[in-house]
Amino acid sequence: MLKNNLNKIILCATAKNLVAGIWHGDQLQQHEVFLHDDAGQGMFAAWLAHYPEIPIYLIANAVEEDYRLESLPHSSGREKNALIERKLNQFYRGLIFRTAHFIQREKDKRKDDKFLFVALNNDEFLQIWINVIQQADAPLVGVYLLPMLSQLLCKQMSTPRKLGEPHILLCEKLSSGLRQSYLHNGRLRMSRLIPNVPEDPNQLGYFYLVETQKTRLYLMSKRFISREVTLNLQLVSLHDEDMQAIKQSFSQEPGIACETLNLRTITKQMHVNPLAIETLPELLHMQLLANGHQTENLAPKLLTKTFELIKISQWITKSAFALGLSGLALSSYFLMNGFEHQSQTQNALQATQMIQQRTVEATNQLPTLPQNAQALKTAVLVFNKIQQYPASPQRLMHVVSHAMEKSSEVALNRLRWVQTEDLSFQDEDDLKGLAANAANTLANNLTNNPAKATQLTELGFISAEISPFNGNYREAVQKVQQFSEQLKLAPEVAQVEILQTPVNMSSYSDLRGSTENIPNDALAPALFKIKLQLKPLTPQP
Amino acid sequence: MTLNSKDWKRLQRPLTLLMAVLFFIIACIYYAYTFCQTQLLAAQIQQLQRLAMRAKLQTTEAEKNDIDIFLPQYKALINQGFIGEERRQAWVAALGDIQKSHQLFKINYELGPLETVQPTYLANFSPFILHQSTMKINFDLLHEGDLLTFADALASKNLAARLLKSCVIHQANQQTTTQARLNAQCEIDWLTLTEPSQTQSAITP
Repeated sequence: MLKNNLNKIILCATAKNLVAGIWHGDQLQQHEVFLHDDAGQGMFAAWLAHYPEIPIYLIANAVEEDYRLESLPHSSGREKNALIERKLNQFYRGLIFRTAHFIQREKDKRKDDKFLFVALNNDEFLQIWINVIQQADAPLVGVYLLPMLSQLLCKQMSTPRKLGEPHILLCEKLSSGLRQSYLHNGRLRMSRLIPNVPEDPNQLGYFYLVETQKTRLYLMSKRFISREVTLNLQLVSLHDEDMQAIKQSFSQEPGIACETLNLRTITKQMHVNPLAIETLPELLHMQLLANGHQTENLAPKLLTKTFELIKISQWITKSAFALGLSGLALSSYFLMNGFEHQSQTQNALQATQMIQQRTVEATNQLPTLPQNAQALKTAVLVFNKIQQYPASPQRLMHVVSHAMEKSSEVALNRLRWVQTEDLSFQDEDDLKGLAANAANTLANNLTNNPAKATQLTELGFISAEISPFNGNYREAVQKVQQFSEQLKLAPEVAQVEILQTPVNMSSYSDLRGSTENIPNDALAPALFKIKLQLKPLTPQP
Repeated sequence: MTLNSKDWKRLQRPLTLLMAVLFFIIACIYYAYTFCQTQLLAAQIQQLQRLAMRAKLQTTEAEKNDIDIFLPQYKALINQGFIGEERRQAWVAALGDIQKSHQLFKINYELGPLETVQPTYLANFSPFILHQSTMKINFDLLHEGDLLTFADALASKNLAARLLKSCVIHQANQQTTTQARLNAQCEIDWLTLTEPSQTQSAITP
């Protein structure tokens, strides 16, 4: 099927015969000529049977052609198609092979689209070949008019200067006769095939002249040209010398400028054998189609249905292949990822096994223990933690001693040092007149800080008196305050609280005394009590 | 374009091919995707196992490191008497040694019964059980320095963990026959750890 995609069968049907060629790419592989009779049809059917499913392009080269130039309002899409279809029905009702060829958009105010409507008035010569094609169920791509390919040929052969001529009459000597095609500004307007070309070379000049004059008159009658217009007659031939006699016959003809177009150059360009062209000039037009040049198709859709089905079939097949390839690519991607993951799994497994081996070795090296390592560590850390706490009341004694050096009137009666996690700890010493409101102040302040409860804190309780005491309580209280301030100055001290003063001035307790002078030996001692808290030795973890 | 049965027959082969390819590709993709996902899951599981094994190795190495560091100290603590049965005799003997060696006044002691405690100042001592025996001592002082001498001497003894919890210094009783000027009353917590399983004999001190 892929090979068939490169192959093309191109046919050229005339009233006398059918030229059939098979191309591979743009290379003509072989060609045959089948006569327009029953034997020829049978031979063509047999030939065609060798090439099933190969697309067939059919060129019609007939005398009965019709050309009509018509302008349509500018439109596009469905509207344009409907307009064209309507016009075709109007011009060529009942004809099968017909089409519209867009010429150009006019430059007037309406800017209409100019179309050349063409049709085959008599398709009998064509129908018999089409019947063979349909019986063989071969894919017919389309039916094309030979002069429309001549227009392409003229474009390829002509120099820009020649192509720029507004009125060209292209003369081609074909196997079926003389084909004269009129091109206005390079676009086909009409064409006619004149069969029965005289074989005598001496009569060719006259024949060409007469037929050209007829064509010129026809063009004038159709108002394609005016009388003053000079037709640029272009004679297509392989050999310039053959055309010289013909060209000579036009030398005296007014309104016709004759030139020759040599086919040798284009046959080289198109890789066509000149010998084949010499016998069957239609092969050149067939080669144009083989090269991929496209022109309007005259065949109705019903005739090209097989080709359309083959195209759909090919499209489905290609889609299946594309889908298959895409699916395989996607599957390959997943598989590659899967194998990559599998490789990662293997690597991870190996790594795990190595680590496991090391773990087993490390575990085997561990000594037999009564406890696990964590328990050993815990025991050691607990011991170290206990060792961190002070082993003696040295710091408190140092602080008190230093403060007493500054306060000579303070006589120490009792000193208590406590390490406790209970910051509300109270000394059980029975103190007279202990201020009720002061007792728990420090403790309350400290217990409000829950972080302190997880460590031991050094607390000190100092029970002392002012000595000598002369009965001046105001002065005694002041000295206690001074002593308290001295204690606070020590860097080890965190907080100091006076629990008892020499005289209790609290509004919540009794206060008794006398304003009379009392002897010193009868005075109650100026006792006081202070609670202090020391800072931790080291920051707790 | 209208298709008849003949046209459909012409399209039958490519359509069959398309369907076959479609099914084949769906099957391939499904298999490949499932394979990929399975392998991905297996790789992830294996990676997690590798990480878990690595963590286990690190734990084992850390454990070995801890053992290297803490086992000698642990053995020393057993020797010292911090771990295991409490050694009251040694403690009392230590008091006598301190009194004699530092020429202190007589030291009266009163050792309370063994108690299981859970003090807040020691956050975590699991799996051990912490025991405490509170010793109250009472002795006279020639001066305040004797208390510090006693405390330092006690700290220098290689005994179980002890915590001097409280000390009270006050004027000595005037009727005492000694030259003591001060009296000290202290509380010492002797702390010991016991293992939940009594297998400590496995470690030879």
